[in-house]
Amino acid sequence: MRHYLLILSITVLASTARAQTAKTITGNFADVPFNQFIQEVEAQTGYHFYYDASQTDSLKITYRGDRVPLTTALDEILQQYGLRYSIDDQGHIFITKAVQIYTTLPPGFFGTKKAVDTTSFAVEEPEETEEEKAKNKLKASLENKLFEVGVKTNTIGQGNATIAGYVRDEKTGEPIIGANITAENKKTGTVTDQFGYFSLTLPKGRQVLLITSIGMNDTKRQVMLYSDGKLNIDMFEYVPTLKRVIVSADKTVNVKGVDMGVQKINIKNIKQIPTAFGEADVLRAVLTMPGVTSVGESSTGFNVRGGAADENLILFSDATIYNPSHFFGFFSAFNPDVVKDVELYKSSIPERYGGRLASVLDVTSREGNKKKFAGNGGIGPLTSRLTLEGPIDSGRTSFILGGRTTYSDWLLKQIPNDDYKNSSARFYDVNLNISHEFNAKNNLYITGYLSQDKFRLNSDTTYKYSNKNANIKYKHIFNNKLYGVFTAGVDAYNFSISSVHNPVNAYKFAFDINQTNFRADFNYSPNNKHTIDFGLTSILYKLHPGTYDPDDKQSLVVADHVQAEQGLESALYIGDHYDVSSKFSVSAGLRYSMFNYLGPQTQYEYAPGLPRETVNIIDTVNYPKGKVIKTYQGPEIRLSARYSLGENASVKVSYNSLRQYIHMLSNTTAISPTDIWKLSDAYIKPQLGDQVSLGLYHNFKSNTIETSVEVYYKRLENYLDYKSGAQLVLNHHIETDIANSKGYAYGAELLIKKTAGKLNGWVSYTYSRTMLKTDDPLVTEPVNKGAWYPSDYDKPNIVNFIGNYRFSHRFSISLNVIYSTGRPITLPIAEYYYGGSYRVLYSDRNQYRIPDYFRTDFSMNIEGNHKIKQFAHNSWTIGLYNLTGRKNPYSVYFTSENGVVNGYKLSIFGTVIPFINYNFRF
Amino acid sequence: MMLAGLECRQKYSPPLLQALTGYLVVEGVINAGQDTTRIRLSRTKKLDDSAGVVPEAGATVLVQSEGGDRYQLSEDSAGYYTVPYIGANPGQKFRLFITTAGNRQYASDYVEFKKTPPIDSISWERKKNGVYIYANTHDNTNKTRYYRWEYVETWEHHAAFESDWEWRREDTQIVYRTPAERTYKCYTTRPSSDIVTTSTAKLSSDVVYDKQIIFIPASTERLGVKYSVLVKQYAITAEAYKYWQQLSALTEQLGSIFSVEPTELTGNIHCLTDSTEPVIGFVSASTVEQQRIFIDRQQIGEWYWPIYTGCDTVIITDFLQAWYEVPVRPIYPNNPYFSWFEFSTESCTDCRFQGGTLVKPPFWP
Repeated sequence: MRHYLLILSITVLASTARAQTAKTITGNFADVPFNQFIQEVEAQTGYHFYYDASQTDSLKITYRGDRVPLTTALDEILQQYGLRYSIDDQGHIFITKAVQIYTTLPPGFFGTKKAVDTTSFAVEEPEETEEEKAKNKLKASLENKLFEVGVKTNTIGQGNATIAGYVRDEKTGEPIIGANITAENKKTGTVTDQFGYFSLTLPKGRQVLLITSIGMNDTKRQVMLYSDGKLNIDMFEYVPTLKRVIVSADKTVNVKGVDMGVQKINIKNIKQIPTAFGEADVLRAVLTMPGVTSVGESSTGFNVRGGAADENLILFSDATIYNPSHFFGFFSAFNPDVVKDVELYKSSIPERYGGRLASVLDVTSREGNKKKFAGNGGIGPLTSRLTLEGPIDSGRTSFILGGRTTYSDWLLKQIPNDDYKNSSARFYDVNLNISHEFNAKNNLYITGYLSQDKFRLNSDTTYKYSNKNANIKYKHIFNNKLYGVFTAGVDAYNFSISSVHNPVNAYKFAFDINQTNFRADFNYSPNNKHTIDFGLTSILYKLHPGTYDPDDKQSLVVADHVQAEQGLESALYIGDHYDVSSKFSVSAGLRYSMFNYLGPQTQYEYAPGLPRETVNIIDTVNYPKGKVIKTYQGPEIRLSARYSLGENASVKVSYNSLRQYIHMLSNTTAISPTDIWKLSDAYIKPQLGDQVSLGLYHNFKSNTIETSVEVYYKRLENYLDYKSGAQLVLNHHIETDIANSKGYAYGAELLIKKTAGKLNGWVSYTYSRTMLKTDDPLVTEPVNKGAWYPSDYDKPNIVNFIGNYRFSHRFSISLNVIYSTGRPITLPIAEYYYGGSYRVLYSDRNQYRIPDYFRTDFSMNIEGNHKIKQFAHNSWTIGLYNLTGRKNPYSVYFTSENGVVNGYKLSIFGTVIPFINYNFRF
Repeated sequence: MMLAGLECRQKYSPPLLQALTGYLVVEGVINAGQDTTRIRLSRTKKLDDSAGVVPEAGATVLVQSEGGDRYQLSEDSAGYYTVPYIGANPGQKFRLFITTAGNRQYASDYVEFKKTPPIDSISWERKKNGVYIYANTHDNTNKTRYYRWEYVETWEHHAAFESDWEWRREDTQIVYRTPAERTYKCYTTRPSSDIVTTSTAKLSSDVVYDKQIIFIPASTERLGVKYSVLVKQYAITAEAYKYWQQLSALTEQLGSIFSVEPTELTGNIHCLTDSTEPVIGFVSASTVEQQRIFIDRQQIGEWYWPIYTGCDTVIITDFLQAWYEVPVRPIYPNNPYFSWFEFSTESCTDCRFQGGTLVKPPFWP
């Protein structure tokens, strides 16, 4: 064999030399599919190409040349992919690759193109390792093998059959979420769900399924579909070989999906975005998406399309996270090593979600490696983290356990101000996920999350807060067309403030929120035109709005407990995704939600028509345990439709309405960890919101460039605002301090995103406004005399650039450029002398703006060598946050000091912040 | 509540707002007992207006009881209106009724005249970062519950060098100073400019224990020699407490990430002529209790003050050529033939350069 090959290569060289004088090619190819490239070259040269389409169909060719000799061009292009060619006298060009030779070929092995028996040209590539060889062999054989699905029959019946199964990572056994499965030439397809599960109905007979997913090598399966059946698909991680390869998975979700205003970002991209302390941060990444704003740096909350910070439902593996940040918002509560990806729904909110007005942020955590024990971690100046994962038994059970902690006290000690010497701030979080597969139809998933923060700054008061979440999910596949997921869980959030400095006044204030959830979600795919989701959810809330207790034996503090409140939020939903034609799809959903405010509770009654003030209390009513005090209910509509404008473009429209029964009470600009939550009750109505949006989507260059324009208009009702000087904590009748408001928001979001190539990232521009107005006849002094005013997070113009450039597989740089209009502030209109000092007088709210915001961040990601076999893979992230050192104002404020008024501009990061982080994986 | 190592604060001048201003500001406590009631009327002014407080002169100010008694206040200096004695009993309700020179009428709500419990003690504590001064009080009847304090600090401070001599250039003579001409010891007096309130509403008994009134940072001038403070205590109502709390939150505690949003603040004084006209201030009625303490430099341990930078003396023999103005002490005090002197500057020998006055307050020991 060797001998034969040697002779062959000499022949090839000789013939190459002879042909060189002849033909040239001219062209500018950018990410052009291989077969298209070949067609073009054939047209220009008159040569005929022979190649194995299965080796080349995932290749995208990028080449520019003007009258370049064909051989020069081919040398350059084909070499990158390890392909070789030879030209014979008849003008035939044979392209071959170092492939394993198969003596028996399955039918349809070759593409429809003129193919040649590769056996006679196979060349063994010397540098290929045994492992790679085995993998390539496995991959190639899987792709070429004909899978028989269903009960085999001699003749293939008429009609359709459903094929269902899981798409998993071959290496770790973890499910691949959001993988596209499309039937070749059939224009139908589906996307895997959060468990990697898919179900696809196709005509019986011979089918080719194409499976694509970000970060994985595209693959395909030859299927002979006899009747309903099962097919599990393993995908191979895209391990960059050290050659230039452009991967372009078929990422057409933005154009082809019906959903609008959905931004998905996987952890690989999140890790490229520079952050202040070098650790990948899920919430920072969310803030770079169009339509998302915040009141300022390091603030915990984010605002989606004009919604308040409490209008975002933040889910971490289906657990509701009430406080998604650590350390004053400098870190998000999600350990980046446990996160798989993040999806933000800001317009089309699937009917299975509800309970918040503005958005759903769905943070998906990883399942552990099912095949081998592995770990990874990171070390940074303020935090370190470690994650371990692996199988528990023979591939059916896996776990992932992640932990993160901080040792930031040293930073506080560096602060020259004496006040901070006695300060400390600590946090940790722990994640545990276990997944178990009983059999092909039954799976169990257990998720646990715990986070805790504790800080004491500049005072003798200690603050603590903690998220505790646990849930158990059971997935049962009834048949190929129907499966159900049953979830039960508990979510808890609590915080406390305590001070023991003065023994007489020593106190502890505590707040907590506990919810017990149950939900059942079903997915039914009767045929390839309909996908029906239906289910029910129920949440039982129990809140302790405030307990104030003595915290020292000498303390004279009298315990003051605001009565606990209970509520039950339930919903039924059904939605149908209907592909009317290949061009037109509709998704229509209805969610009917109901909220019961439950006893025991003591409620004050106010004189009708008079302002709700303590002087107008006319009665006190006691409700017994379990008694329904107040019920709110209503339908929520989720509609969206898509119409394709050709292969790469579509237009979409959607209408969504939502209801929210739990509210955060906060009269600070930013969310503070000591903000309390409140259920809707007899006086506090549910917040209502609806939104209509329209979008245009167009992809270019084989879907490697996505562009979109979305516009929206949104209405908000029963938005909570507060009377001047409202007391929110330990208030036994909070309704006296609340002023209902309404609002509207509108905006346009432009996004250009490049998903492949050396340079990737996105540029977005958002124009948006959010206006509020006190709309409560029982409020005597409405904000700004009842006129419309801009909300705190109303920032009309926002431009984000997030870019990553890969110089090589081991070195890349990232750059963020962020610009936004300054947020609105209330400026004083006058000053006066009172209480021994000049003081300022404020008038109309939010009539001025702080200076515009501009920030640039830079980071370098340096990876160690890419040998597959080594103990640990290392990488370094080094960068500069706020590269230009601009003192971006967080706020402008006025304070009386030593008798005079001083105005200040406060910047949180007023300087360049260098950072370094070491990451490893084994 | 902020990570100060990263944050950065810069001076900020706001854009000049053309809003209408000049609202009436009413400040004071109706002391309906045996003491003087003093009410101050002024006007708000624009932020960039560098003039001092704008007094509201020529108004007619009355204290009215709910029972119909009226006490007229007289203007003793521009904007200050006083009445020396009302003589009512606690529990009665009073209000303020004002007619300005512009003939606009204003009235406060009726407020309860509260009796302030006596101050149990004013204590202090030396900690590493400075000296804390506390108030302690209690009310056995558990009725007071809300307290407010004002205070007036006085401290003695010295020049770098004590000079008993004066160089009279016009008659080329060094003469011995009379005690009245000495400029070594000064006394600075300063009233409080911050809001100090507390509430015992959440305690089982009406006890104020070690409520911090004043903090003097370590090694600062106030405790350089000797310090005294007169603390005044007022009982206030729950509404007044809320007003002062908000005023403090809006004008003294902004700037942290978690500060409240600025809002309008409504007191208990209203314009009767035009109900939409804002009026600033909250009038309370109570007696006043006060107590004075002294703290001596020797009592507080290490305290690195004064720090005189740039003060030195030079020996000068030819006084006409002297470039320093003030003779500090003779080099050979017992030798009349060698009239050499150490000289220093005025700013190093006259304590008034640091502020204050040479007049020793009557209460100073």
